[in-house]
Amino acid sequence: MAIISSIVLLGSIGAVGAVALNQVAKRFHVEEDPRIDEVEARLPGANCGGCGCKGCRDFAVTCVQRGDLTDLYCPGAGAEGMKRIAAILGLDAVAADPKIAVLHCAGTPDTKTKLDAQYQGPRNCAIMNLTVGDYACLNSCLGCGDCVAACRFNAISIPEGSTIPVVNADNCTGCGLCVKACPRNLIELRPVGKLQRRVWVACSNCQKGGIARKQCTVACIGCGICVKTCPFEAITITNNLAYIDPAKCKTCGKCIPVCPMGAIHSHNVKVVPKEAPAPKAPQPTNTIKKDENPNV
Amino acid sequence: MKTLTFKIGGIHPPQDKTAPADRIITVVLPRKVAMPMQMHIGAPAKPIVAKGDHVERGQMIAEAGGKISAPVHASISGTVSAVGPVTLAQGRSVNAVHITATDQDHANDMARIQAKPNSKPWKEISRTDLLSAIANAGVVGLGGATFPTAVKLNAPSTPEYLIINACECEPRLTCDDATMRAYPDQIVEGTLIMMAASGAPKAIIGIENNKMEAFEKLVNASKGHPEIEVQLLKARYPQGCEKQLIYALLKREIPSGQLPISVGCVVQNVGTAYAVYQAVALGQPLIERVITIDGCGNYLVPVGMTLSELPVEGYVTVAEADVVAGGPMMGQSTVTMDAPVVKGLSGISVITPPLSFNPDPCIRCAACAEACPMGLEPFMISTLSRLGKIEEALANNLMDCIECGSCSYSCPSARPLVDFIRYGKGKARALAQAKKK
Repeated sequence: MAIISSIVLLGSIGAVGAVALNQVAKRFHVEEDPRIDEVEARLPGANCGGCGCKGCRDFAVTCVQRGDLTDLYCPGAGAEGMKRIAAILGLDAVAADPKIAVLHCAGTPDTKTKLDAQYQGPRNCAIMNLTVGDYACLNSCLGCGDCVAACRFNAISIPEGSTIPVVNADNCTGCGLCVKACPRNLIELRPVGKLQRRVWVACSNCQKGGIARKQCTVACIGCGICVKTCPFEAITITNNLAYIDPAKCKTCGKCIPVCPMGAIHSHNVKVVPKEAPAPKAPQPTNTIKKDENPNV
Repeated sequence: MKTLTFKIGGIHPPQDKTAPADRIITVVLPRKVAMPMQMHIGAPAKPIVAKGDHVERGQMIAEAGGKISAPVHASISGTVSAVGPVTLAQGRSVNAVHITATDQDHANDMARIQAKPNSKPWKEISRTDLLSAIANAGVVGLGGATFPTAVKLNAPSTPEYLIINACECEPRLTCDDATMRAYPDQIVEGTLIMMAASGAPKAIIGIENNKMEAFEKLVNASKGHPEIEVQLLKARYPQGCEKQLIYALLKREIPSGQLPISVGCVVQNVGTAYAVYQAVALGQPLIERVITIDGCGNYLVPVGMTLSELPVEGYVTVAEADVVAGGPMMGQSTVTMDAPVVKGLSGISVITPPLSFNPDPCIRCAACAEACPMGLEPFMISTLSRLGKIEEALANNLMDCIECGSCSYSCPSARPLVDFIRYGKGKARALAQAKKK
């Protein structure tokens, strides 16, 4: 008997609640544009903030409500993704230059001058940067991987045996999370470039030439030979440090071999060696020994 | 007498005060010094000597570079060999005047040290002249913060109390203890000078109960001066911080973001009191100070002397151990021993074996919140700082942190709490500057 009464009682409470909830849900129903969900489904869902919105949902809402895609670009979705979003909304996609993270340091333990004392604090770039770290160069990569931890696209990693992060061009969306994470401001977002061609100065050392050279064997010494070599006036030197303006750079690659320190790095650019064409290799002999000639 | 202490938080780290405080060893003057231009908080000093100039011990070689700044004086006689950069113990380089002494200079200096000067009467000197005498002698706070003393004494309103900080709550350091035992009368004299310079009618010397000998000596020295009270405090870290010390002595709490003068107090270190005595009564500028070498003893060292030249037996190099400038709680790791002694250096601690950091996740035990003497929530501020949420961290009173390290010390997961807070404070200061522009 107790069982039946409790089933009836709980069942009736449930039924009354269900009816009430149903009515309330109908009454307070919020009409939401179904396109918001559609747009959101096209986004990476990493909430990286690279678009300038609070997250992917916020970006989708902004896209739908504004009715215009100017200044709205999701670096994670890329140009292709933005085209699809534009198709959903019936708008024109705004082309934006895809960008990629580039590290302005190439110093390794072999090239950098070590300090006598070794840093013993927590392995975290932000904290390590409160001290001078392990090396004499105060503008070099600390190598604790704050950028790796910040990346939500698995695009930056410190390979085993290395001390500096490497950007995986396939995964990098150019959202800029790593740029914010680096306490020494070593990472810059640069245009991916035509045919993935990029040239950049892989150094941030602002010391005068002699000091920079002592601190690291691949440091930019601000000698200015790249400035003279560049036919497009794309390179400037401020604070003893060369900077290549990606807007002016035509990725001709002429500056790369002239750098005495090898501080200019490139991707997909053919580098003509600095020296005059290498001495001609001995001509390969095409003559076939008689003994080996099957025709004879 | 009742032993007092502050109310919330605090820790009891092992004292390890092994450096004997019963005597101060005077170091033979070096032949070469580098006098950094930035040994104080504020604008760097401007050198007024050039390469090739001959300078005398105690001569001003750089003038104050602004309102909040302090001049620098030569600690040895000699010739200026260069005006150029020198690397400080923490690894950053600053501008400095390098002085090299000949044998003749050296002999003159040593003879001058032997001839002890008599103290001059100072009671007739007016307040402004006292302040300028202290400022011209380059006296800065010797507790570690190195704030120019004259600026602090010249408070916008007349303080009720001058508080002499003789806590030395930092483990391992005994330099203040040694100074008090060696010069109790001079410290009392210095306190009287600072009272006259600041206008404070009363002074309290706060001293922890692990330095009973120094306490008794100070009580004896201050017998004829009813305006000076010597108060015993319970040994507890961080009692030497201004805010905790004022609370312990007077039960007054400084409002968030304000200075001790807002509760009518000016706090000065006991070493500063001695430096003020030397500056005003003996006319000797701040060119030497007492530093503790962990486990070895206390040394009277000229400012600018290279650390590696200190006559210490069983010396360790920075590569072998974690050598810290200051005490183990508040000190900063040194990266080179070829760095000059600066005014704010209270000692050298050697931490062996080197520490290792393997932080575990936060278990929300709130040990840090219990240990925080400022009543903050270090786990919260630290995490917000780490994530770059500076605005939120500021809302949680990030800037009230005194960076004493009690939170990191008490964390069972060995999390680097104070490090992230320090990082967050740096970010917050940068943010405030950016907003100003």
